[in-house]
Amino acid sequence: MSVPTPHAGDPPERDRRGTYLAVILTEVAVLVALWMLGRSFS
Amino acid sequence: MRPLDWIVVFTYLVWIVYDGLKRSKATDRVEGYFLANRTLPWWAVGLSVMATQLSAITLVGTTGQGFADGLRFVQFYFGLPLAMVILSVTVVPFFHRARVYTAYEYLERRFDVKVRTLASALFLCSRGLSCGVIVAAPAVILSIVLEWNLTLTILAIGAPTVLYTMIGGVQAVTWTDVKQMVIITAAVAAAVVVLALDLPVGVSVPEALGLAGMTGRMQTLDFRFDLDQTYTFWSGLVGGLFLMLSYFGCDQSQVQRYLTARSVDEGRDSLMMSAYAKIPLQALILLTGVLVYAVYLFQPPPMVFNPVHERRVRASGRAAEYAGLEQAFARTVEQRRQLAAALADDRLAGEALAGSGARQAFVESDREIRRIREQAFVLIRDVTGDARFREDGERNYVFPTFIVTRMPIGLVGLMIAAIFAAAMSSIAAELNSLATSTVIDFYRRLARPEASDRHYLVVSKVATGLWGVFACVVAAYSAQLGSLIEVVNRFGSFFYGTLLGVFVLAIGTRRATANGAFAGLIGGLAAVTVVALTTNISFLWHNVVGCVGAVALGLAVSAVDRGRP
Repeated sequence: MSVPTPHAGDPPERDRRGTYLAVILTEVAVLVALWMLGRSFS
Repeated sequence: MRPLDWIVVFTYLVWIVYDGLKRSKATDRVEGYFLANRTLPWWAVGLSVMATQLSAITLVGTTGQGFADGLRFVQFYFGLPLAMVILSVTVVPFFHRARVYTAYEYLERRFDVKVRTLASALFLCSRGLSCGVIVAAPAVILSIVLEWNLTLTILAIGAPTVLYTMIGGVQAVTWTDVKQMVIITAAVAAAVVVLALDLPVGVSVPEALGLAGMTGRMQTLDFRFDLDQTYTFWSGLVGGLFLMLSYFGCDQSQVQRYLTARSVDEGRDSLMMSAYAKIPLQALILLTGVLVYAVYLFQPPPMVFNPVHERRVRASGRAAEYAGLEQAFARTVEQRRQLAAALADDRLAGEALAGSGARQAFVESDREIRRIREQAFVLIRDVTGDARFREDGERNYVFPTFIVTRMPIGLVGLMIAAIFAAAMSSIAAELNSLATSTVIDFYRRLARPEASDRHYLVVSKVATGLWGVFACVVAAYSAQLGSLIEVVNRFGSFFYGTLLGVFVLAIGTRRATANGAFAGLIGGLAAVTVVALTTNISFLWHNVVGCVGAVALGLAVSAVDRGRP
């Protein structure tokens, strides 16, 4: 895969790996919370 | 509706049209009209992405799902956060840096004009019809529950949306989406508060949820691997991932949202908003439906929520049979109420009744209520001849009925305005994207390649208006021919996975050729058609079949194609 190169004047892009990891960890936390919710109210 | 509710709804409509028209100042060029000159902040784009996805069908249908089935439906969205991460890494920088107007424009740069044209045509067919359904679904429900004229309800939803979208372009769409998303969230929060206050004295929200939990409505996760089941952990995570990749990555109505962002980073941030907020928001909407169920444990619910069908049965020769069912329903509802009150009291006193007969009797009375309702549906189908009348359609009337019968004055208006907002935000984005694909992929590319920017701007506005008229006409017809809604939904799931497969070929590999991609597009559609017609596999998995089919056939044909002299 070859991503088109940024245009002149485009702002530099941030490293997003931390954000992506946070998204995935948040989803895992939400799934655990939903599972616990089901157990608490069963 | 009382006068104050009418004032709230009219104020909303006038304000949203005024706000949309106000945004037309920066739309004197095609790039401004379709892409806001790529200047919008990430938070506005992010809210627009969420508002576009959250239609009135979602708002009304999801609360109905919560009422009938509980929180299980939230599994449908489990693939979404992962899809947002993958799209942020892949298509957002691709589309942004390629400076395209439409996702399909990129396919011509990578392959050729026939792949672009077919992909865009599939989008136009599917979205054009679905736009009509998005107008029709809330219009039918509101017209029945509020006894409004159907055509006028369609026009009340469609006409203001067409007006501000046509004149204000994507600026109007995005900034009205922001306000509409705020109205929807505020209305859902207000509904939760009203529902909590509507519980009897002495029954708290946790106790009410505990009662709902006894019937399985608080169970979210279902780890069974069964391809025929629509909502399981695996179908949501895998099938949902493919669906969300396709919807947010290949559907112009969503791609256009993040193409308006100021930069690649802001486009990514706008998707991250959905990644964080979508599952909790959907869980909250489902929880609203569960609370409606809990309130109806203590207040007698109607046996049938659709009043039109109910009236027809009462006026028929089988009215006495229906009355008998109603008596049995009322007795069982009262029995369930007494058991629910006893169980709530015992929970309050800290007594464990998990293994007691009261809990078992409560669950059994709940099942009996379902059985009686099923018998009523059979009777209604026999009397009306409406073979499509089933519980899964009837549940769409639960939340609107609750709004008009139990909400306080003023809040009824706010809730109806929220249903309007949910419908209008999705319709506006779809009209805008339909016009973009029509003008950029067809008119400018194939019909008039050399015209002035001013000419394309005028054509873009006309195209937006015409798609709006088309959506309203489809809405009027689909309201009469209910099965069309099923056809449109099925058609959407046919093409989504296949389109994703073509973009995987375009972005993920250099080996794919134009002929391979075109064959993949046709082959993916054929694979989904065969699976849909010959198996019971749930539609979420069709996205996986379409994508894998398109990629496999695309690579195979590309290999042959490259080997030619």
